[in-house]
Amino acid sequence: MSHFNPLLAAGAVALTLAFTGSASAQGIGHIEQPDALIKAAQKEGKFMIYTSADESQTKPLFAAFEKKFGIKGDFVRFPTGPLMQRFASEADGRNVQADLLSVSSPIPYEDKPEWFADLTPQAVPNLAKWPAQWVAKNHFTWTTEIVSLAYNTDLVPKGTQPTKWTDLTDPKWKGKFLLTDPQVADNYLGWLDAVEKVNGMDFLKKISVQDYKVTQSGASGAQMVAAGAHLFNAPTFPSFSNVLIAKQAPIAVQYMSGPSVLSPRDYGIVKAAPQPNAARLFLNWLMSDEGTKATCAIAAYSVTSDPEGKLGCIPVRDGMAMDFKVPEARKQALAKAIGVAK
Amino acid sequence: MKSEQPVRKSYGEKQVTESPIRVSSGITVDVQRLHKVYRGNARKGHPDVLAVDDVDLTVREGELVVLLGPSGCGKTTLLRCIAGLERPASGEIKINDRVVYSSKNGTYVPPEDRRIGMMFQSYALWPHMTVFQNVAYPLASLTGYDKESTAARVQEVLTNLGVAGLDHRYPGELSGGQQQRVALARALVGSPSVLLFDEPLSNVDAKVRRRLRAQLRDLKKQTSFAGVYVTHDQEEAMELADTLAVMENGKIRQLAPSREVYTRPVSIYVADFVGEINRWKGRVESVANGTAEISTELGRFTVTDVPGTVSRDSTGWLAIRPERVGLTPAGGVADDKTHRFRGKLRDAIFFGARFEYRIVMAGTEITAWLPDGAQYNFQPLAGDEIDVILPKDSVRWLAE
Amino acid sequence: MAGGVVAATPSLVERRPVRRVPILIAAGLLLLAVLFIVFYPIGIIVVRAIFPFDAQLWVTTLTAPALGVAVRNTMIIAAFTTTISVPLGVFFAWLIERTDARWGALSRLLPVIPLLLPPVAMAIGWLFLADPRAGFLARPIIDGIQAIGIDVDPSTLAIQSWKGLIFLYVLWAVPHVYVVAAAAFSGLDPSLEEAARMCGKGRMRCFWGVSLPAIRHAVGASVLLCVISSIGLYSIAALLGSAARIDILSVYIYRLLNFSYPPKTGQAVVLGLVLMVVIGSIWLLQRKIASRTGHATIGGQGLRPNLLALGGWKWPARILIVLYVLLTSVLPLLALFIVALQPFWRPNIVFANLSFDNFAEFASSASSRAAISNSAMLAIGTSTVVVLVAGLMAIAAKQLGGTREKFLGVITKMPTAIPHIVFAVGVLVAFGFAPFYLSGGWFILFLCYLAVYLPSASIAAESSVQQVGNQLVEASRIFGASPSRTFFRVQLPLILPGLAAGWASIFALVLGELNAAAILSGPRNPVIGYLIITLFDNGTYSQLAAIGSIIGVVSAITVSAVLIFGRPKYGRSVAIGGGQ
Repeated sequence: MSHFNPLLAAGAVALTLAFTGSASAQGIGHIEQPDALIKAAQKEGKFMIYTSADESQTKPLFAAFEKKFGIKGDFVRFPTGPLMQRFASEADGRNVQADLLSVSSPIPYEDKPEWFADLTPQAVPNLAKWPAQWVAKNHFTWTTEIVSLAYNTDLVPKGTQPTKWTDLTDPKWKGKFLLTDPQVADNYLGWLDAVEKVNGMDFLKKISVQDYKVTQSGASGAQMVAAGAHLFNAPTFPSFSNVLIAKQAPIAVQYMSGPSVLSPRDYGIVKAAPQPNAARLFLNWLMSDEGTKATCAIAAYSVTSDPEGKLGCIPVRDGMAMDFKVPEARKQALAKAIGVAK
Repeated sequence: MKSEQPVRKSYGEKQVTESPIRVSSGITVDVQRLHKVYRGNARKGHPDVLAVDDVDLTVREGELVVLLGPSGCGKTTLLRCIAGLERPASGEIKINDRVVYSSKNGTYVPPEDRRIGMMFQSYALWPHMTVFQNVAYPLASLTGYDKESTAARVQEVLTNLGVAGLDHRYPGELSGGQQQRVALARALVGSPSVLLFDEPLSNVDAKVRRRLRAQLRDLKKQTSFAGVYVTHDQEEAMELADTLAVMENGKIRQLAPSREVYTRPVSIYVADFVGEINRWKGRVESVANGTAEISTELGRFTVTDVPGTVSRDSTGWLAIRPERVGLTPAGGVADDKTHRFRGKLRDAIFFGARFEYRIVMAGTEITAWLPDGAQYNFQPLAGDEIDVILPKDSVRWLAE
Repeated sequence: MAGGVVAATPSLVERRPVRRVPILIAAGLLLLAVLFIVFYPIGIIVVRAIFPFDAQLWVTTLTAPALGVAVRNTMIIAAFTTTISVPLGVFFAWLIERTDARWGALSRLLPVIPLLLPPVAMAIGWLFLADPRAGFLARPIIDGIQAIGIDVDPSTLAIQSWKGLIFLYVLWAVPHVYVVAAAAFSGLDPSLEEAARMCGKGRMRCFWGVSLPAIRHAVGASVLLCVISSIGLYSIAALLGSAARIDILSVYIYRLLNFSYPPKTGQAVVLGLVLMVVIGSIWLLQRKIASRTGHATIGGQGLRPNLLALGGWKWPARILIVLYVLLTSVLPLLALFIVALQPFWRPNIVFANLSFDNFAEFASSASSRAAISNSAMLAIGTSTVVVLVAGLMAIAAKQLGGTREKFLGVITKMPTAIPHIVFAVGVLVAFGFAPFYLSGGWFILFLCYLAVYLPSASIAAESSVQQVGNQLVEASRIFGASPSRTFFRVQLPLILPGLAAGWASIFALVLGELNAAAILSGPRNPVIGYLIITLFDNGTYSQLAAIGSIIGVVSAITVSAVLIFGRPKYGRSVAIGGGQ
């Protein structure tokens, strides 16, 4: 029942792609949405996304896209586990419903490459301008966010909150914070792997004796912090707190350092997509400046194609990329060290 | 009473072959060589149980046969075999000359096709149906009953049994006696060819039981239904039975009118089950022409009317019913029709209709019942010496 | 009486030849259909997950150190839940069905109110109440204790602890026990108790010595139900057990499937197969114990409920019941409702900030409305069909007896052992595509729920079938009724109160079902579970609380309506308690 959902944090990879707002002005715009693709897509008239992202992110984008092209988007939204179970069952049954798949892990795409179409500029023209380091064979990283900490501003005055991961071992937090179970998803486990690589097993063991409580869901964690049940919750993603911040809840997000860990959200096109053209058009639109602006107008995201935040996005910050291929034995050892498994 | 004959409808499947008009053999139920075995579980050390062991039984038109015996003797199993609720292991059962079960040709007619009526020990009135619905239930399976004739028939039966006006009540709202009558009404309403009774009076108190017994007896006189009645109550059996069948270990030990069973029981088991009896262990010294010489701890007896199966040296019981025992003041002389023993009165108990005397004689005890009033000319007290008179024709020799 | 009682020529009246073939065929076909719906998906999963046989998979699965801990914790929870809930539930049932502690027919409804809240809503409700630092209930209490100078560490009173966990499991399990026990008590012959009272036994000894043994079959069924469902319960374990770092088997299995990619379906299936054996054995054991000594049945003699006078104990008993209802239903519902009115969960209630926005949001969304109506229809359809099927199968099993009865009993319990999400995948694979193409419709959800809730229904049905005396059924046959007439006129009406118990719990369970919804529901066939999962992950507790309140209201209306209109009219005490 839990999952993370990377909406965008901030980051600061100094990417040096020539593409900016001015670049589009120079004429990339005309290839942004090829007429033939639009025609074919409009003939299909609709498309379906399987996503683990929050519907508050998906819905406005669909609305903007439908307004522009008259093509209706539909989505199935679940945590990655059930989402992929369902996707896999349909793929095996040769009854694919999804045209696009968006999850915050590269594993599904790499695990079953036969399910996804190769990403080429021929298929999706705007891919040509996407930073090459964020593009793989059959998927690309659309947004990133930094693993963070959500704290209650009534109970932890601003300025006294932890800012780096080693602060969690401070005895003053003992028994008062909420840890998100890193076992629940690959990008929490990626965080655990990253902080251990920087701070060592001893650091994890120090956390394990802090008598923390555990949540299986980032969304629940943020709300318990907002209610004052715990002083703070980590690791988490800002998207969980955004809803609460919008409602004036006493909660704030701290982007953590030491290390800053980057979590990606990826997109891929399903090979057997029933509406392949509409899917490609949507993806192409999403990768356009217009799509990026629309994305960053919803909430504070970092889009990898806008590293400096020129289109209204949070700049992509420097950080440590997550390793999604942590061996099983190491996963267990890490979970044991931090005290969530025995 | 429903006088017109309901029209018999014919259904495609399972046509009943017999004519509805009886070819009168005069026999309503005919059970032949019936066996019923309950399989045990050898692994758990439970052996097979022979619940009905080679039983023959006939019930003639208008005859009520009472199966009497202790629990576990197989009487209920036998009844349930006749009803079709149990499937026997072998044998044959005919109801109204129709074979309803036969191991030879594999016939088994299920209970719903046997055209019987039954009263259950628990009454088995359906608690979710009204009295009317309960009683009308059997009629729905019969042809020739429409809504009106059903209502009329139900009312008729309820009225006759004295429970009219209860038809909209639920069984839970009735007294035990009323439930009893409703259950009887349900058993009778379909005019079954035979009525089966499975200890139907064991759940009501003694007073109600007597009244219902009397009612059943009246009913029987008026309508002369044929039936099989199971009970473990000796008095009930005596009151209702045309023929009494005393059962033991799955076998019918004696099948005879109740008076004969009482006065001429075939074994001490049967004698004991139908009433109290004094007994002494004995051995046959000699036997000839139905007369046997028996030696007991009281001395030697000559007993007439012994069964032909009795042989020299066989052991058994010398027995006499307490009401046949006479008492006189000590000192008289025995005539040739009686045995006479000197005894000592241990206790005298007043039971209302009779006095019961317990006497110690020759080291054993004997019970005598004298009607109230007999004590006006003879009032022995505990400790008195008295003479006990045993009429020779009342002393019987009973096998084990 | 006149001679008309018996017709002079008895056999002139013909019995209609009985047609018994159709009902047997119907029952046989039904059984085949059920077998197909249950075992085709299970077969698919098993074949996919563990064939070809891979010893390594079994070793890895069964030797995981975390599994040992989860199994131990689950056993502790199941043991505590059962030993506390069964006596409590039976005791409440006795108080309300057999003593004058009940007041009015309404009091029978009280203990089942908690059934109307899905466990996830109850767990959240209690989190709102009892979190030591932010709970509506716990915080004032702790503040109060601290104010009088006693220094307590809030953490020691946390609901996120063994104590809290067992407390919630018990609150959740008691109504399930209550409904089974109440149905049994309502059918119990009061003369048993009256006899005991006349023999001079005290009230409590009457309860222990007579009433309780008389319904031991129902007690056995409750134990079974308690053990099986506490093994399967997920929401409370996930929300509060995990918080306290108490790993429970259901969460462990869920994690295998949901928290990693690719999902470790093979391991989950292996655990499912092991669980299947365990649950099958528990069922057989329970049967053996229950059948060893027999039990009281609904006889054919009228039952006049004669309530036992508790005297001075009447009011304490009533207060106990009210307290229980307060704890299980009123307080969590109140908490849910307050949070549903808040923009987000906060311990201080600011009246100015309360609004119906969260409800308005659902009302304005077409897909939320569709989800609620779909779920309600599915819940009604599933619970009705599944209890009827379970009833028929329980009756057939009893008539067959012996090994065949055990076989039927075991197979109807098997779906319990398969985690719902795994089962749902099996259903999707089995029926979603060629040749059935049911994917994306309501019917596939219906098939899945049918199989998933068959065990609960059959436990309720078996208990009530055991309560119906044999003679009532035999009487029907003797009086010429065909097997189908016997079923519809005698057996079904008599087990109906017991089936209604299953009906109500399954209705509420379907309404709040999450896992099958995740696999089988979608934009074209949304159900409430689909909304809940989404909200749990990305919404606010206030939105969840609003859904919880809506479910509570929908359940309450539907279940009460069915129980009021479907209430047997006859003298036996059967309303919701009895009807349950």
